[in-house]
Amino acid sequence: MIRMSDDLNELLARCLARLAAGDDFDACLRDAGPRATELRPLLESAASLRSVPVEPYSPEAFHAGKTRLRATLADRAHRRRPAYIAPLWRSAIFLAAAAAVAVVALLAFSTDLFRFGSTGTQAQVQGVLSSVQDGTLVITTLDGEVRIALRDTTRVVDPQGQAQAPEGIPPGQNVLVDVQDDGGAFTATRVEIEREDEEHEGAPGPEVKVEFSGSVTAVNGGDITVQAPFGTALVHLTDKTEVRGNIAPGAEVEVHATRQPDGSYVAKEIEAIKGGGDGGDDHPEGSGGSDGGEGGD
Amino acid sequence: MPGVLTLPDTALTEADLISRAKEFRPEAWDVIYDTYFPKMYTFLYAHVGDRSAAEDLAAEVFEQACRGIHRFQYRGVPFASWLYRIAHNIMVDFHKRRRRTESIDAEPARDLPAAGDLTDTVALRDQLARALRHLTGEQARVLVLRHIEGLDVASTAIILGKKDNAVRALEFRALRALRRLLSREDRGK
Repeated sequence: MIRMSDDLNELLARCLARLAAGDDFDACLRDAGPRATELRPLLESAASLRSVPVEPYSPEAFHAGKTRLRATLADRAHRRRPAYIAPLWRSAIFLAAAAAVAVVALLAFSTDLFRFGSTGTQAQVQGVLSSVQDGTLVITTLDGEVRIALRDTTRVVDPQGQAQAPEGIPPGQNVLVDVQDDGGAFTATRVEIEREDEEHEGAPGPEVKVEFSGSVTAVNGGDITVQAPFGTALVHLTDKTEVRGNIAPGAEVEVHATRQPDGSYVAKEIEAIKGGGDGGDDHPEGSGGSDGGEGGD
Repeated sequence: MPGVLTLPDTALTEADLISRAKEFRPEAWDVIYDTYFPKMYTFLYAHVGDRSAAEDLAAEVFEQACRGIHRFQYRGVPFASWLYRIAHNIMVDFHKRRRRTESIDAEPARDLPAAGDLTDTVALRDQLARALRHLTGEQARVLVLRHIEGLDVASTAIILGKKDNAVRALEFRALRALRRLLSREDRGK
């Protein structure tokens, strides 16, 4: 579907390229025809950014910054360096290390406490939780979608550090996941739910699509209350929402949506997969779902 | 191509550089600092509108990068993109700290220009800095790269780790949001 804003987007890109090549502002607008009135404020905003001079930094500040960096560097390098060990102690330390390795190996073979032969590496993934499906977290990152398997031992903590169940993370929430990469198969060792009142760099914006399922508990015009595994979700339907099946209290629904800053969801698609009268995908009602409910409480 | 980011040491690929940086080799960090300090400064200056603060924050970017380099995974995502994210987080923290200090000290808001001692340019710079802070990190980054640093779409796409079309779409949304914020400020005057 081509939207009006797509055209404007194209026009803006063309005009910005022309302006960068030295073309005239008014000529660009003239060529934009009837869209010129919408284009003008965008070009003016861009021009205002270009018009403000950036005060140059001082050479002293540049060098002071480098000195700070070198101090940090020295500190980091120092932490990595093994402490000096007197030659007389070397053999004793070696023997102690060998004994420790032997104990660890014994534990590994007898208790399966340690995994050997793993080629895994640790990494962190930051992004927005799109869904939790069949023991897998689907995370949308700036680089695309990543699927990370949950283990029984995966620890999930909320912003206060309290443990919680993976199913309790609301889709759309920013998360930071410690990941074990076992040759392309990712497993989560720890999931940290990030605070909502902070900006989350390294994570995509609020337009990330999320999905979840649950049971409809109330329908009130274009607002639907869904009891989901992570708690109660308020889902707003708009005239762009694709509604399938009969969305009524008691229906099991699958929701594809975007999360709003207030924690509610705006549905792109909602489908009754069970219950709710004559629901199911045999009875699509198409788009225009703001009246998709049947009253409710 | 104008404005393309290149590392001055042509013998070093970015992956090599990161690998050496992870070993805390000073020569690698010198290259990183010399290449990116000006860019981090410009980015931060656009957001804080204050030279001294931007200089200090730009230096902090490299301290934090040095401490967190072990977390950086080189998977074709440009190092610059990672640095810009650090810079953005530092900028957000800076404004939080400043808001707290201002509320404790009950100083008049620094964002309000004192009558008569600011030129139009300074007022506009402050207005833009305020507006940029209300955009998402990505939106702010694309505007600074494209319209303050003057990079073309292709170079911006490399830094942001996005495709050209995605950069154009992001820029469109960012300019639209900026326009709304500037109009709101104008109406509030």
